[in-house]
Amino acid sequence: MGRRTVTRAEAEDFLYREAMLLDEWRLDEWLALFEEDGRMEVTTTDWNGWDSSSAGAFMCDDYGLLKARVKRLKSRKAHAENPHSRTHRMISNVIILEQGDETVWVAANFIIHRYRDNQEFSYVGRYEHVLLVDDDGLRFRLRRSIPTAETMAPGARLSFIL
Amino acid sequence: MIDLDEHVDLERGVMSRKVFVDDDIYRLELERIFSRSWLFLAHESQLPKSGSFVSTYMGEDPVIVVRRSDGSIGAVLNSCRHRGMKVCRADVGTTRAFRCSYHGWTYGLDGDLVSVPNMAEGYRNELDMSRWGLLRVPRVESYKGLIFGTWDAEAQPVEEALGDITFLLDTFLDRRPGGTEVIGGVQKWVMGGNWKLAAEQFASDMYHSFLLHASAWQALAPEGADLSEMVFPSVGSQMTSQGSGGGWFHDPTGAGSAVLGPVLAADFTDPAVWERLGEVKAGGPIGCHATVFPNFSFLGAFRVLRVWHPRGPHEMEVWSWTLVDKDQSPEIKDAWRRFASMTFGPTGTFEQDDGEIWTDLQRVSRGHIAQTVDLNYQMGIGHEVTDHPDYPGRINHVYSDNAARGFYERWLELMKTPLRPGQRGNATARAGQEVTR
Repeated sequence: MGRRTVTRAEAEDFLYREAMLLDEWRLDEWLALFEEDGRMEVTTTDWNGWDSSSAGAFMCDDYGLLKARVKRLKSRKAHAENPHSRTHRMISNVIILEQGDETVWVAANFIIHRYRDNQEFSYVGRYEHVLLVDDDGLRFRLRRSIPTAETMAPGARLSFIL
Repeated sequence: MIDLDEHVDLERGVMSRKVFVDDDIYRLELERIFSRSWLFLAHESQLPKSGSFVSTYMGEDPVIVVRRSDGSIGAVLNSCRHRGMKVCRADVGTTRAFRCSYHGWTYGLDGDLVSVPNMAEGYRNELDMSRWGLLRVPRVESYKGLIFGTWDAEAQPVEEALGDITFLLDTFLDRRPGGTEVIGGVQKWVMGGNWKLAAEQFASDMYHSFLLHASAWQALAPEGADLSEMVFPSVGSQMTSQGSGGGWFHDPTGAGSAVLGPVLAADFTDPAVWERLGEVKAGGPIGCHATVFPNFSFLGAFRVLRVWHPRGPHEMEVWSWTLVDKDQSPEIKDAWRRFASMTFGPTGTFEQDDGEIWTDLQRVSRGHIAQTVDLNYQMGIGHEVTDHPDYPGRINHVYSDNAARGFYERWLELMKTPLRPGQRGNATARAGQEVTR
């Protein structure tokens, strides 16, 4: 058992708050949800459980790259997100998969509606996160987003945070 | 027939954007550019053993690239000779045969038809199976790990056809004795924009790099660095030859490579690599940004290869590979993989902004009035040299349209030259194209 038990409600609160920060483009607060050395991955649409070092990642940022990505997104010269995408995130089916010593594995389903440039996209998928359990809350050790689509629709560039 | 000279005047350095939007021009490209140029198919490391295959495209035609039983590499049109269905529906894999899912015609690794269901009852054993194999790509050849194919049986050998661009390719493929390998699979996505927008940009356009991509450079700059104090290089060269081309700055260890971070910068500028490549190549071309005519591009300092598959005049399908030195440690390879996906690819902080531009530029180009206003390809016109002491091809300043003009010169030459009668792909003279194998 870990240092304390994480309930589904606590995991849901964490994920809902994260979704709100992203939808409101509060990227510095979002980055603060990661521990130092936290990582983020978005798997490719043909991903088949492979280790991310062999194949299958649209995004595989370590903490340094993640900080750089946020820094760029905040720039008005990040043309692909200026103006910003409008996103609306729905999160459900939250499950605690496993509680370890200092971490908890959480899975959830997501639908992200995104509007930009007169186009409309829906991104459907699943999160499988490894969260660090602290006395005062949860933080991302690994944030992994697994799109369900067989292919990304033409124009569905992943310039926002999936 | 379209009068291409009316739309493209390279002596004056002007061009109509009609070439990016016109359906007839697009169809002619599939015939006269893609049916006879050497096209990049795959990297040898993707086909490790007999029976390994990958699916790809030559223009809009799907092909399968296969490692055959004797270890050689071949390619066939991915279309059953019976009713035309794809015989291979996987992106990548290993197999002993390709069996069509419609009626079960089955082909060996070399494309020969080896089995036809109900041969006796249906065909009365009268079908000459030797005449109904998959259509072979007549020429498949490799250059330092890169596999190319062409439908032109009489094309010059690939190394000759690549010509001077091997000078730049070698800085990418021949850094270390063990050669290169693909890491992290192939990323595939569709972007708005004509395929030539990307091909000409990678060949020639270093002009946009620090402006359009300012936010990405800034974000990746070393901690605490103030970009306004970073001096971006303005000294460099650009070469073009046989439609291919590329550009580079003369100080690849400067601001550009600072964004690699210490680990990758140390690999990029490893003294052993520099010694192997020699002072001339290591002093600039090693960091190049280049296109091999018509639609294969690479980025030296980002370890990225890509193909811009044509998908109608208005879209391109991008296929992207990260290529690392085989001799390098797993940690360094992994760091290159992360850096490549952070910069180029569907989530790439550089490429997102290119996609934004190409999508919008393509939209503007649909306008009737816009098509009557010429675009400017005049940068550096008349200042080329063809006897540079260090570099092959036609050379100009890194900030020029030299390689873009070279790209469209080759494009125009091919577009105005019909395929030989009897050559596969000749749409106006099909005689002689009957499959004899």
